[in-house]
Amino acid sequence: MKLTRLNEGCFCSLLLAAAALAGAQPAPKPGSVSGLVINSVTKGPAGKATVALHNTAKGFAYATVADDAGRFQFPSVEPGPGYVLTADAPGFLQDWAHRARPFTVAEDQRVTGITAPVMPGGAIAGKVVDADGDPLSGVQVTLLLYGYESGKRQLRPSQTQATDDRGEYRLSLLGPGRYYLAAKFPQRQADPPGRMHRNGPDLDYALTFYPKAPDVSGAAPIDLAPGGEIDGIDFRLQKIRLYHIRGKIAEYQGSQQMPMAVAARCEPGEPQIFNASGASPIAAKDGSFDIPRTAPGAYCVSAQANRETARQTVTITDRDVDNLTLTMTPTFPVKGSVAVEGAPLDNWKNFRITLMATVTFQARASAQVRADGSFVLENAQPLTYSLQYDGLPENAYIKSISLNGREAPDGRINLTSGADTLKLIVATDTGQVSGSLRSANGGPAAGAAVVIAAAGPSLRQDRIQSALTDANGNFTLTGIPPGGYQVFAFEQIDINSMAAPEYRQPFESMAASITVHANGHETVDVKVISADQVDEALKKLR
Amino acid sequence: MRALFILMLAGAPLAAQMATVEGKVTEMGSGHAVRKAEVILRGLTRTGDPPEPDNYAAETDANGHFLIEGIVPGKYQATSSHAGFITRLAGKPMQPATFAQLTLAAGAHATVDLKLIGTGVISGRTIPLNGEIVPGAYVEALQYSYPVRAESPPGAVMAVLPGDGRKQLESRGGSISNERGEFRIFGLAPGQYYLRVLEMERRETAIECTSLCAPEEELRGPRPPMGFATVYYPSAPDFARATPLEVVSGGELRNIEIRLHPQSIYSIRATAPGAHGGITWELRSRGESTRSDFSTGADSDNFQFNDLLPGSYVVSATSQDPEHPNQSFYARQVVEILDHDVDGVTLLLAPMKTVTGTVKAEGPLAVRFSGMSVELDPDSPGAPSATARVNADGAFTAEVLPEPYTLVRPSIATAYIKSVKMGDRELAGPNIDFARLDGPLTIVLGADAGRVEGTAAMGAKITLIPSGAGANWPGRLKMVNADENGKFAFPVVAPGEYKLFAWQDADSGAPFDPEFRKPYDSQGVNVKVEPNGRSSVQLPVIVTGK
Repeated sequence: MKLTRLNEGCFCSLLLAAAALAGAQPAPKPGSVSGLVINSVTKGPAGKATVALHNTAKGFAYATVADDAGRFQFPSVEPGPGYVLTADAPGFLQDWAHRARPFTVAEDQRVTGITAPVMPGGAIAGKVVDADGDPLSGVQVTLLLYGYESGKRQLRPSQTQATDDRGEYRLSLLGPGRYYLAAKFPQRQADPPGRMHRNGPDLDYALTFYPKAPDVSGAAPIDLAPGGEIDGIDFRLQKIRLYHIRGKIAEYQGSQQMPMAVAARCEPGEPQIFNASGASPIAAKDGSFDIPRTAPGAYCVSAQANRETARQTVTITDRDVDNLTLTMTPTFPVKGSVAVEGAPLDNWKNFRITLMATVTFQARASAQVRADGSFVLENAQPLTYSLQYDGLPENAYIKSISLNGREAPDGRINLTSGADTLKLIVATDTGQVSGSLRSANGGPAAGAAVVIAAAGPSLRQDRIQSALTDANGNFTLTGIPPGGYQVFAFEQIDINSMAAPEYRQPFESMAASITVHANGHETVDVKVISADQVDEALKKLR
Repeated sequence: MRALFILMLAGAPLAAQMATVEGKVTEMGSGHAVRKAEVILRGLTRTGDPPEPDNYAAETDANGHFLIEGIVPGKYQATSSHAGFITRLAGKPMQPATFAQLTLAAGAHATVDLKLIGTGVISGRTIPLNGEIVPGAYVEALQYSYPVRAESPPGAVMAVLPGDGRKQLESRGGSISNERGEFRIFGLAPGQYYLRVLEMERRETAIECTSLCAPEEELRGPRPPMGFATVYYPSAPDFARATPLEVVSGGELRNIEIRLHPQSIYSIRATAPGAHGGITWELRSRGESTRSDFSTGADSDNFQFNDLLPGSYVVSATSQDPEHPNQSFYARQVVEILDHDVDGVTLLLAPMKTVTGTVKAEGPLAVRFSGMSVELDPDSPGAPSATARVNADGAFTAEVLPEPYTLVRPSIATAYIKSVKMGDRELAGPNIDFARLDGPLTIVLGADAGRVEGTAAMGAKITLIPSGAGANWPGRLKMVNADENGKFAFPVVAPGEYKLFAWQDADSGAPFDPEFRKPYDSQGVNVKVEPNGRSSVQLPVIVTGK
């Protein structure tokens, strides 16, 4: 945009006069920003990247494309604070850990030498063949990495690719890290109805972890460097024998619905790819079932009918399991009530309580809280549960849980029968925590993640709250129940993982301890943990 | 029989009673052996207690041979399968050489040759004009054919939709290009294909800014190209200018390069002032374009659609007044994006028209009104369909725009639409222009349907094509597969004139394409169905050889 000099032309004095009359200010002279997109591994330039300059204060952005040498420029930038650069190029990933800090463009200022880092994506590739070396197509190869889910360290699936007609797969645009791979052969087509006769035992492919393990304990890790390229990660899949789990429900009365007996891995919440489950209808006349095609391993066999459930663990080694007996126990409703301390709540309309069984596949009991605060949890079983809820307004929290008059300080509830009663106390006296954080160089720490977690055992062991600092490094956390807490601040962190106490543990020495009082307002200052410090701490966790 | 019975009592080895089947599986055309193919003998006769069929499975060896022994005598169908092979082309029945019907007597030894059709591969790269690589583009292999419908079980009459008789581009497979722009589409049946490239992910990740930035950022100044228009191989903007590729069994078409045209992306900002309740916004692209319809809801009276390529779009807004939940408001507008953002699209919401009506049965009819629905499709592609549930007493209420519509449902198997009235005026056909017609809509179901049955040939596709008055009412055009004895029946047919055809090998939708049917017209049989009448016909089987 060309700047027009005001003292050119005949109308200049008129314009100046008009401007003075109107009291208008001349528009501030735009500045400019230029720099280089850099490959954060080689430190050389990354060409043909798309670069954006965001004005976070006013909510607009400029975009441009860097040249082959990675050079970019924004020739006309409205002066102001809070500018942030982002860049992306094909084959690269955003490099959040090393992104530039927000900067200011002053009037008529040429800002040069800004670097925008992009990280080259890595790749893992290979081939899946059968025992003879012939390619297997359509096999789902899934990339897994450890993360924290529901407060536990678990393998989580990341990317998945199916092998092509040559049996080949390629997982690309990967960040650096420690990965595991699993190969799953597609489900075989169902047999036609009737009796199936095969020549020899029933064989099929089971889920295999690279290089050839039937479960996670034998899986070999693959360490991928930033921008690394690893080929030859091949699978040679062997067919294994599959077995039956046969048995019956003791004293089966028959059922209106079509109940099924299900065999599944016992751990709740395991990623779906691990769930090698089979099922069988339960015969109405004698309660018998026959779950076919199950790979060796440990399973929970369960059934549900007529408000009764049965569960049994079983291990398949090298033969069918016959004569498994499942004894149904009735599920029961559990009554409870909620009392409110402090300011009453407007309504319970969305308040819903769910009990999740801690070690049993998919067992849960839930209830909607009624207007008078009472509730009835349906389908409870004699198991240990943890309590989850939603639908409470932001300033309300569960202060205590009591089972049959005794408090459960860690939130674990052991139910035995329909005579059990639960009492919850909800309070509304939450407090606030705020602060103003500075970065290592003394400037405001903008865009930092602040996390607050309960210190010591409490009902909120697995709950955290978080907020991001604004451009001035300020943050406020609201709705914090009274109690003792640790406050952490990070340049960059996987928020979900922070819900796990063991994930927080390496950072505790760098956290601030505070006590939040009822309806109080506390301020806190804490050092911002850099991305490199997080990497170091996590390496020790592995 | 008696001799057999004595043999059994004497404890003679039962193996003498069993049958054996052996044979080989080879590739159609080349004749190459297919090893590790699965062969399945599916039992067609039931024995034992409870009576069930017996099925057998085996795998072919390195020479493509298989052997199955100990088979219970009876009728069987033999088929084979293997990854990378198919037994039928899309929309066509199974090829005869890929299966065999066997009747095995006690102690029989049968030999079977089964064929499999090899599939082909198309591989290559997407190349943008400016030299960059575009990962994450979806490359689709399409065939121009009639819509393929799932096979209906024998004896189940299928009502045919008008679109079934029109050729369109159908997807047969696709591949997402990797970070090098490479794609590979495999498992394709031999035939002619068009390749189409769609964007999967937009480059807006480059301008994404996490939580520091405002969720709706305004992009200022000149913008770099961040998307690309849908393109057909080799580099055509539409299907008419595309070049087809020929895939052969077991072959690979390599190094197929498709050139992409990078384009900038823009946004449309629209408002719908004066709405009483929340507004649902919708944007559809007209013409064959990148994204198919996408809609989104918001509660504010203005909305911004982002990441749009240049082209023609329809923006629409629907709103409901919470005080009057049965009265909706609607407005739409065509918006063209050339080379800049489009602001200030103002939609003036107008009340939709409420149509009340009843479905009634003329005479005793075993039909439940609740569970039925009335559907009206607008003639204009930008407008929404109107669907209404019918109550137990036959009443329904629908909301339409004052525009022409076509009545598409009810189309039920147990009754036919005899007549439709709008107010006092009897309609000549399913087209209703709500701009000009008023009054309650009365749909009368006839209770005097006739029945058409007959014989053709085993597994033939029988089509019932109405002619004369009432031909366009929904549900008149029907199809059924003849059973293994060649028998078929259409139990509920509206009285009137029809032409019946029996097809042995036509593509799924071809018989409903009047152009396709023309040369075979003389091979159809005319039938006049009387009220409560019963017509029986013998149909010659039409072999098209296509």
